[in-house]
Amino acid sequence: MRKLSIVLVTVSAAAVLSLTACGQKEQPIGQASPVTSPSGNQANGSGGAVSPSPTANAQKTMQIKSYYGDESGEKLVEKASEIKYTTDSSKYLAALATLKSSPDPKLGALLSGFTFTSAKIDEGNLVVDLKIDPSGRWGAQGELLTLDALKKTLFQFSEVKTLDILLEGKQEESLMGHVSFPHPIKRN
Amino acid sequence: MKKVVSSLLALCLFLIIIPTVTHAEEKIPLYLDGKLLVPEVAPRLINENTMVPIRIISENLGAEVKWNQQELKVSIDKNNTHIDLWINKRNAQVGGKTVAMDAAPVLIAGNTLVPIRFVAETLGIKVDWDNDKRAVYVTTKPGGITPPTTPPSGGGTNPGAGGGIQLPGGSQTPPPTPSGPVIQSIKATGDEIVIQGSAALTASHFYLSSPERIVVDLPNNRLGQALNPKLGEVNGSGAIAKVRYSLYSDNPASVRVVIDLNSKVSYTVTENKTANQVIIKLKQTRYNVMIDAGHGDHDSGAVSLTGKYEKDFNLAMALKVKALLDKEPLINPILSRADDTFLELDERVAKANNAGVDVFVSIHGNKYTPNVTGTETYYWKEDSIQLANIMHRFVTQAAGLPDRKVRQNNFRVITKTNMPAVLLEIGYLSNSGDEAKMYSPAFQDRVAQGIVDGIKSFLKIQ
Ligand SMILES: [Zn+2]
Repeated sequence: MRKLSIVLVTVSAAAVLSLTACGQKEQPIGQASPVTSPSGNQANGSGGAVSPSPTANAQKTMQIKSYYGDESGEKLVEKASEIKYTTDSSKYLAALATLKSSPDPKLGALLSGFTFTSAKIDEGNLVVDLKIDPSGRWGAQGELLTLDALKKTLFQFSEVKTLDILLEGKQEESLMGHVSFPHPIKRN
Repeated sequence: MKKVVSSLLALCLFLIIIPTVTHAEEKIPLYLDGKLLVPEVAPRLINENTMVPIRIISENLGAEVKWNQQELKVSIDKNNTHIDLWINKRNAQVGGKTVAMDAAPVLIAGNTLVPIRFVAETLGIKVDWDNDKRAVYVTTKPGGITPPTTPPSGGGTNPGAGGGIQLPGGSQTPPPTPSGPVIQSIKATGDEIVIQGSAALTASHFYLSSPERIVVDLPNNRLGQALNPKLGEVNGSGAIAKVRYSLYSDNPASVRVVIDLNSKVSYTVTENKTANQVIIKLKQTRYNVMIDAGHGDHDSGAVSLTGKYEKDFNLAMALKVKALLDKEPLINPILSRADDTFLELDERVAKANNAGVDVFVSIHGNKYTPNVTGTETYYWKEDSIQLANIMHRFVTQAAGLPDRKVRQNNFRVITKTNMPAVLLEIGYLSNSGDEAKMYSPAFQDRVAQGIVDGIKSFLKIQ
């Protein structure tokens, strides 16, 4: 009894956003046990509503992964860094701030020209509003790496399910004119 | 001596190939939207999988098919689905992901046969198997003709049933000589093809590119005695490489003529009802080439080491390339922007797709850390690899900067355009050596000429 055998094919959804993100799943950080700092050090201007509660104000420290461009601008390099924060909103901004300068002069600080205006999470959707100085615009590959560094850095927080990147408050098609991205970007 | 070696080799090949083929081989009628297809090479059942010649995938399922001789690879593109298959390999790649098939594509007598169910279903086309009639039904039209679940009374009357169709090389008894109009001759002279019928002809036709070809269908006709009973070809000259014909559908009868072309043409089809002729006249036509200067207006692109804008370099280059292409009689250059205006990436894509562009070249200047220098060429789709390789060769040679290779990455304008497309990163505006050259008119002229030479080489012009 011959019959045609059926092969089930899963065609991947067409929306492949970036190559480098493929296959590498973001891991929630294992060692990310927030430590409440005993010092009363105020977190510097997160701009968010500062709760009067002393526990919310207490500074926490967290080990995170930060991403930079390699020497030849072809791929991302992962580095460990430490952030200090008080509120959720300042946690994301502190993580993003680590991308603005590189710990190793050989690596490219992909987000050196970025100014982060706000980072607010609502029901798993993290909205980051940012500004890019013209001097911070890269070529095609640099833009791809930059977008990837943003995604990898923010999706390492397991509570971030989607990420909406706004350019000066607007949902733009592209950061630097080569790569387009959806609003919001889904964790892959 | 040489002869002995080659026949030994042939024998070896014979021994290698035959066992996999003869086992469980059966020629299978294939119906497309209810019509029986009679392809040049019959579909056959190999190890319980219906295998069809690859031409069916391109000409009947409307997919774009490419053959890579070196890798023995078949690439199939339809809408947004991309499939790669390799001869004798059970693993296919669908959109870059590995998928196991039940049967590997095979090469038989120079014909590539692929598993129809796997390919059709991956492309979202319905495939049904009728075990009583031992036939395959492919349904391309949504809500189209579905196969009868039970054979229409008795079996033997339908020419598709019982394997009674005549196939090339088949040993079945010939069917009763059908009556009705026939195609008596097909002649290709210069850039004109004349199809002669025994009665007035009506033709339907369409154009396919990469490779360029015209398909003409002549319904209600069979092939006359002067033509090979089922299929054949005539040689052409000029724009015509060759003309193939076949009894494409048996019931109802229909003859298909495929004109394989050497270059892009425009054409007219005239039905001369009194002379019982269809005349196809070809005219070599211009290739549409889009030159896309990256960025513009408020999107300056990269800012160079000395504060110059990438958008201005890109536009200067695009205008130089356009001026050179204007001198080419077979190229119609189109600019995505001709001045300092801004276009969204998707607007560039839409412009190219709507204008029926044949080649898309996006020009950019690069930026990273100061030490990085050189030329990069990006492509994304399989149909763009050849263009990328050729363009990179010409541009690196013209620019004389370090070779940073051809790379594959998903930049919007080369992902969503539906023709061969590349993005050129000519050099690094963040590198002092590259930057000084990139704003010099002599360098720009040289690279513009390199881009034009690359495009012409890809289109096989001159
Ligand atoms: Zn650019």
